[in-house]
Amino acid sequence: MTDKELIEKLKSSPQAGLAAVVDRYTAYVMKIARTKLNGICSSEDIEEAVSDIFFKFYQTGQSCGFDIRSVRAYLSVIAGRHCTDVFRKHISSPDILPLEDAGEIPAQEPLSDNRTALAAAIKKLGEPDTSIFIRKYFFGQKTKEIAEELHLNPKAVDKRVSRGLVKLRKILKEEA
Amino acid sequence: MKRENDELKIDLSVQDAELFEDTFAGFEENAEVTDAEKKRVLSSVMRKAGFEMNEIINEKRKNITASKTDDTEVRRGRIQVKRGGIIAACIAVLTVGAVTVGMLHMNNINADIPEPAGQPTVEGQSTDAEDTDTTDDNAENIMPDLVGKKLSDIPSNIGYTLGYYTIDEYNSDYPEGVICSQSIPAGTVLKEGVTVALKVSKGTMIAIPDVSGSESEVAEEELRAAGFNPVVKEIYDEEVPEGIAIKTDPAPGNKAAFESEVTLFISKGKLGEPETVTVPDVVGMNEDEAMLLLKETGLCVRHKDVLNSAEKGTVVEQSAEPDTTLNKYDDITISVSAGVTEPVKLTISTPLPADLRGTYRIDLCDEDGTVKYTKSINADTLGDVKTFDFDLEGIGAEKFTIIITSDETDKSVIYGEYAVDFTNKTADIDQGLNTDDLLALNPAEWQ
Repeated sequence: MTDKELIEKLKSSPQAGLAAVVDRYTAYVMKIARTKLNGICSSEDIEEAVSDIFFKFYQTGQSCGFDIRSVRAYLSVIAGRHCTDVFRKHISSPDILPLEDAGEIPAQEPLSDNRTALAAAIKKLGEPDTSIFIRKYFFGQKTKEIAEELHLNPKAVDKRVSRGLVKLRKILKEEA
Repeated sequence: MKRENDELKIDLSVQDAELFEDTFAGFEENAEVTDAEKKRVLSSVMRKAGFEMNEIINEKRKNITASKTDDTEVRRGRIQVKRGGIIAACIAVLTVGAVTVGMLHMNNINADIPEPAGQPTVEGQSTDAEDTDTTDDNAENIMPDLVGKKLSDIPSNIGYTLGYYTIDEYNSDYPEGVICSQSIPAGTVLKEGVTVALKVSKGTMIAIPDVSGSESEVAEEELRAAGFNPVVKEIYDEEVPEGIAIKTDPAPGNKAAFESEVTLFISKGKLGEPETVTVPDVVGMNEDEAMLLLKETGLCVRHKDVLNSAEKGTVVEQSAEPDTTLNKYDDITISVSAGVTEPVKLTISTPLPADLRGTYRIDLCDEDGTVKYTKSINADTLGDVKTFDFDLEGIGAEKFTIIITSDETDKSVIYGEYAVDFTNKTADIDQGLNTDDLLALNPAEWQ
């Protein structure tokens, strides 16, 4: 089911739509949560984080009538932020994190120019560098895993990161 | 395993994230989740989202027919029954309301379901929040085994507190319209308000053809002809030439649902070939125009002044020939005419501290770190007012760094930096001279 179809379903029938979103994206969200939280949280906590992410998706989506363009992008942002929250709470306190303390994710957070400029600059790096940067700095994936999944040598990944940082600086400077 | 916070660095906004949809899709490629995990997550999410019967009743009350709502009252999210013997009917009617908006898929609802045995009832107009919690030993509240049954054949009175929603999927074991799995196992005692997810077969699966080695368009067409919806993803590959199909996911031979998405991997050529640009011809342009054009092309520009009779500021040479290909962000050097054919000669005299003793080597390095001039001095023979001179030749503006090295200890200090303007025959010392560090190189007996 495409994102467009999922959004239509969420609008016409939130329950069936949410079930379809969970069915379609559990593996993806689980991978984000595992990448960010493996070794920090138990597998039960990770599963709980995944279910919280879908619930937040549903809550924030509902508040804007599911007027969203991409379920995947929306879920990715919520997953990234929620895992960061869980990560921080577990680092500072090993106790279980209650959902209501995890903080709300604004559905349409206002953008700062810097962040848009940075995202656009990362996009401009081109593949495979864009993937490497998103995996390393957004998903928190390790060089070895990135290398395996992108069929690259780990040293090549590191080299691309250091070159990419120089390129990013240049792109941002030129466009400033 | 300990990890640092700084591994979590980029925070994207929703709008930013939309830029990276393809990248995120790539990240999902190796994602794996078991059916049991998926089921647990689904169940937990639906529970958190409040998709339970009593909530649905609240939300869909407006759809309930007047004749039936007379008998029910929704209070604090719990159902209260004012008259015995009608609860099943109420629930059934409420469910019809839900069906009208597509929330539930109850079929053949019969509003005249007989009163279940042992059903607790409340008489009168009591406003007490007395619940209609069902008794666990009520046979009608046991989850039946629905797997293998046609969705259209499900009786209307399966567990009167039960609502369900369906997820359609292709399945090789069950024909179209038949339930292939249920989220609550058969035999489970159903609590009030639970919902159950039913997976309904959309039909059987078909085998994915091997399209590797075909050109992109041909491979896509073959997959479409076989009944799949190909999703093209371009990846680098050392062996498969650009534009040729490498593999599919799921792999050939595996069965996948009719009209389901099959990822078709098309080669982008060898790994990590960087973006390239074509070098423009900037010879003859003035320096500013040339810099702008080269930067817009995507190159990093360096410039050097050269002896040339062309008008000052005119580009007379470029390090890469026009129309050749360079990687984006590669360096290119332009040679800019200084407007003169003979270099300017200049002698620069630099003071040394009077207390300096011993012998030293003095190097003048240019901005690239190359030693352009060198000389040796003996501070002991320089007298009270100590200086050293360099005779320089050059054009335009240049910067030099003075590095002084002790012959005795081979230790070095950066003594200072000159900004030399050959055109105006001036030399300025930037940020003063580093006499303290230089005196630290004095032989031990003078320290």
